[in-house]
Amino acid sequence: MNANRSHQMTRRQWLTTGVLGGAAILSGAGLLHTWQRHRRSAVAIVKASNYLLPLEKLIVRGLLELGIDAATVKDKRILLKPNLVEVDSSAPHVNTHPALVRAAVTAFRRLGAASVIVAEGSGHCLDTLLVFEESGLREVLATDRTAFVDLNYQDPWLVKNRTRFSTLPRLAFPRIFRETDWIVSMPKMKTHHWAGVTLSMKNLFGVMPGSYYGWPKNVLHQAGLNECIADIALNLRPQLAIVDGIVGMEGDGPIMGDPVDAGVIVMGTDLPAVDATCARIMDVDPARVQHLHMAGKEGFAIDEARITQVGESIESVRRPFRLLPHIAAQQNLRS
Amino acid sequence: MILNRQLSGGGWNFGNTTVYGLELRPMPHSTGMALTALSRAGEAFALSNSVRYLDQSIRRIRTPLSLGWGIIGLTASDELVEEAPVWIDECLEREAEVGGYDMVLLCLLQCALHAKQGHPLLSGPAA
Repeated sequence: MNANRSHQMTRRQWLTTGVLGGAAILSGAGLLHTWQRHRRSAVAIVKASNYLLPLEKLIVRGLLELGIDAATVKDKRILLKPNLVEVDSSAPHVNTHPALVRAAVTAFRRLGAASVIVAEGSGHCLDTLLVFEESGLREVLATDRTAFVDLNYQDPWLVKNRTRFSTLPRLAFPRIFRETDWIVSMPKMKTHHWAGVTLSMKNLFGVMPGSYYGWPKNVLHQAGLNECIADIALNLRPQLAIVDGIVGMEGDGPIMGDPVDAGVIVMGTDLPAVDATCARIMDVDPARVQHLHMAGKEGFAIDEARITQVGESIESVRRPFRLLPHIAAQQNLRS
Repeated sequence: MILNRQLSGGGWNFGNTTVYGLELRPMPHSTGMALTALSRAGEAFALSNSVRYLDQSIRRIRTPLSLGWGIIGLTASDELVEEAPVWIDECLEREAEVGGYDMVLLCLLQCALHAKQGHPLLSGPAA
């Protein structure tokens, strides 16, 4: 036998190998999908009646209940993404409260993070820095020497849109995410007049650079609001969500609604599961929220049976948020 | 069309005036842009509330986008903004806190610094 020939594949061998390899890949993908469909997610609910409490301790308690300890956080470069929407001294409940952001910064630093920064690219008010300043967050972060990044002016990092709920073939994330280990979505618990609710998934609209998508990120609205929420969250897959439900917003959210004392912080590593739990606290059926329904179709846990609730139970903190009958997106959200 | 989008208090949001029956809040940068666009439209009477809103708002603002468009909008409306260089200096002093301003924002501040009454974006550098 020719020595060289012994290393060459016949067409039949090549085809056989290709078929077997393809089958292995397909079965791997199938197993991954099956695993995803049966995987349970843990969500922590921590009671917090006001912003004067030692919130850092409450966050650490929630993290530990999720199995996230110092060993997990050590040396991670962490980016916190609060929800900074608009400024009005009469409506502080529009934005994630600065005290909770500060508490998260302190908690991650104490757990050994390599760095913690705060970033936002406001989708509504074109001037992110104005909201940053007038929400009180600038003062807090300056005191703690924490850096803030305006994501609206970040260069885009283009990735293929793998889920394709929307018509967008690619998604432009801010380039700083390539130098980040953990993205932490820190939304406010609110109703929304176009999406039903706005929680950790919808909060990610604020990561998309306005300099790429325009204001108020109209491209994303035109490509389908709920579809884009699902695409962004499920492609980006942030590592953690910490929801500010201490004071939330009901009625005509996300800007003009009324404050509601929900008294909770909700945390978890699977954003759809976190949002599904928040929805239940708000007395909203997550399966009726379009973008959560889409996440469920992708195999993410939104069914109560697949979510391990740690800390407080949903029943013990349930606080129905007022929904408005004249707002289409808020109709039929309850079972 | 721009006047049609003016809010009852004189300012502008960035398009709609109401959503589900509730009037939106004015934003300084949108108001500055609208005043600049309308500066030669001969609508001074309709803009007096807008100028008043912007003049009051801008005194507390030190972020480049809102400050820049605020100064340009006021000068476009023939207002004298004597404190503009001081405000711009104060704005620049805060730049390091946010890791530097984007070039677009620095250019806007430069335009605001050299804006002259009536011709906000057409004037040359100050003598």
